[in-house]
Amino acid sequence: MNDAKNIIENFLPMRPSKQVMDLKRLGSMHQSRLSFMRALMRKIMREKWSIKPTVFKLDEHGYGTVVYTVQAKHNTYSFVLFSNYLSDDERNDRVIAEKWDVTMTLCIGEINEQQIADMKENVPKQEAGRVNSNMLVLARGNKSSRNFDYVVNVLADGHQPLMSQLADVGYLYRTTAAYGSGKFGMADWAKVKNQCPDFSRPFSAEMFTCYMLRQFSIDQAESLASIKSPNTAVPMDDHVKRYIGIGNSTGLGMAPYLIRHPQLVGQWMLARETALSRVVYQGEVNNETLGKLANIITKVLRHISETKVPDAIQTKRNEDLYNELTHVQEWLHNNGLTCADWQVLVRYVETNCSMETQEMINSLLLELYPELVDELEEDFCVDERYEIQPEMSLSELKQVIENKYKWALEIDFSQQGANCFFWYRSEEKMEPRLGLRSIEPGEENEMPLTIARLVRHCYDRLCVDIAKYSANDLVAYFLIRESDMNGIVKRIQTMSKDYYGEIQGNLADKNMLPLDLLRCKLSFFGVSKFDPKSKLWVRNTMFQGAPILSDIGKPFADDWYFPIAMEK
Amino acid sequence: MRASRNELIALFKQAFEGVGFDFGGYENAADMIIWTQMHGMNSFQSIRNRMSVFEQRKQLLAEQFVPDTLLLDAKDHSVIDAKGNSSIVAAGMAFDIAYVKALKSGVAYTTVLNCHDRKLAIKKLVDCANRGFVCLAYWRDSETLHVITSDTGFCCPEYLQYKLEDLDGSDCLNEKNQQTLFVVCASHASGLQEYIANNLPELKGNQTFVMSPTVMKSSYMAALTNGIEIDSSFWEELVVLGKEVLVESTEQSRMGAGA
Repeated sequence: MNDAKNIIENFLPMRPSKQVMDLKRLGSMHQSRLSFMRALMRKIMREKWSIKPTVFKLDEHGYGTVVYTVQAKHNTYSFVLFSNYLSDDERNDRVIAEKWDVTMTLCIGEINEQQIADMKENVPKQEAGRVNSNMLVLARGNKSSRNFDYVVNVLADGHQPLMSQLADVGYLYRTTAAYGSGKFGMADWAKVKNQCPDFSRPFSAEMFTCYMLRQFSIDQAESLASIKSPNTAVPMDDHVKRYIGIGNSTGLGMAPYLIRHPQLVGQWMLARETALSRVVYQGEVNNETLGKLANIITKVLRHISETKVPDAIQTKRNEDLYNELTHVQEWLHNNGLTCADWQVLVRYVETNCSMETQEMINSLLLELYPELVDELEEDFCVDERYEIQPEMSLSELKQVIENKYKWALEIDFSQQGANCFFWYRSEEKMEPRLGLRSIEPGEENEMPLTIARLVRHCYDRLCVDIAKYSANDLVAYFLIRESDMNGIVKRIQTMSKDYYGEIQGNLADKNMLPLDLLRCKLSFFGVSKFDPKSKLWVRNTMFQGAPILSDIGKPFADDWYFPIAMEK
Repeated sequence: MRASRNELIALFKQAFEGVGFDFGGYENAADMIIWTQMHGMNSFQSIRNRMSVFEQRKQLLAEQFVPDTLLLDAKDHSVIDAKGNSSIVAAGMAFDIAYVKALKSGVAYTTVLNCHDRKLAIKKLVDCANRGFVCLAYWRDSETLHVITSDTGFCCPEYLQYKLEDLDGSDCLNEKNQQTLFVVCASHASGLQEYIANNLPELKGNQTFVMSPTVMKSSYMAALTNGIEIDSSFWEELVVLGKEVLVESTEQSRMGAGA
């Protein structure tokens, strides 16, 4: 942010980190107009990217190679996809899978036959292959067989898919992984950020790859319908295409990322909370904005009513959200014009509604003022630097922990259940897993993700050290005496300067829900229709309602969020 | 084979975690090695030669860095005994101690005895320079005086070598100096120049090698753009070391990933 913005922001109250970074609240977040998919779509539409299939070699079963050439504002890219046969019993959304219906990559520049041939040797192998530094993303996906076959058959018969069927499962394919940031030989994030300005925001290349899989799924379905029944097949209507998203399965792998990148998470939170603060304190409450919010809530209510998930807990949360939003809409109708600002609404919702509804209202308020919010999408990057301040006195370090990590010191790790879980990496593709301490093997290889306990340990050692030496002694000397504290001291000192960033919860506690971590990150991505499959992984839908390729260049209202099923 | 920076950092982190480095320590190690390699100073070869030592480190951990490691703690000078360890372990604390002393005295230096892989100290020198100080690191091997200085006005330091036999009146060839790393921090360039005048008359000798900040920067950019070359057998050695931190997969453990 620039200085002028900072000066203004300094006068706007921000929600406290204790409230924002509470794990349960993070697990109640929703997509917003600052979510990465929303920002990406605005960019594509604003800059009028040209995206065209330049190779489309699929056989009668839909297997083969497809390349879309992408002309963005600054560079040309190629999205390359390989579609292969996969038997139903081989189809597995887990990280440990080794075969997929489609594998794909996004790479810099236009590519030739030889490059495609080279990619064909490695891209389908995913983690087991090697790619090069011109590639930005390596990803894969599996068919939602039931939906895909249904859509192909109805198109082949000359009809359109029923929107009610697509409302239940709003995608034809699910992505099961989208790797970037230098994995398997790909371009480093630093290279992407500096040399590919079209994808210089966090995860934008990964999001774009998922968007392109969505496009491919539509194109493939149309192609197969046409091959199956050339005389009767029809193309998919545009409104149906827009309602088709891309499924996603996300598991524990996403959770360690949030813990290991607190500065980045803090930056995302800061941008979102700054937006909320601006809207709440600077946005005018009047007939126009009240009407706009009422319309948005009506749309969200319908979206929720169309969201069917098997998970009983999520179903209950959706029902509560529906009922509470209905209530909030009534309250706004009766009291909206008496609100001096949106803080009145926020306080009312905080007092009367669940966290799920509170965070939904916060997200929806951002929709009212694009002019206050959208520029903050430029603030999502941070150069992460974790540094020791050796000149800090031990008394100051102790004070920093007591002030900034009060939440961690308040956790009683002697309580039964406080150390229930440990996080570790499995030998199977280094998949992050959660084990039961003292019951499952691997505790000695625990990953240092339970920050609260590490802070407590550091604090206790610090207190002993101060008693033995001096509170005026310096951190430089403490770290010679206690060299194994280097990592956590570096983190504490660095993060003490950030307002948000540390997730305030005990990640080893028996009541900890990994889903909360996943949902936090997925909400920043911009997904919808959370469909938990256990406490450890969740299905969801990406880009449902988003513009399709033929929409690029046309007027764009940026209102595709929380889509509803509309028959033509 | 070529690999990305992120990928190699993850690989080295896991390898060093596998040989018993602590949280913080293995991150440090990976950062120092990759930074040095990307900036054209070939850290991979020297680290590869020492991996067997690191593998033995688990047994040695209990002996490492007990409080008497800090042998001398004077107003502007400290002496640390690295006990045969790599600068991966010792350089950070050497610069930190010099820095906190220089904050008060303007110039301070740390002598690190029995220290290996001294070239890797360059990353810690850069970190210290980023605090707004001018920094110097130097060491001697059997034939060469190596000097790294941040006093360049650029984002990267400069790396110089001098042939020891060309130097006059130096005691630098004695056994004591053979595994010693000297690091210096100064709040102003004049303080560093004064230190050099008093302690490093050898720098008037003939340079045999210069790696300029520009060369370092361009080496980094090339590595970032094209990937970093690493011998595939070294890669495999690191993978094997890293496997120490992985946990055997069982049906029960698969449940812990959401199966």
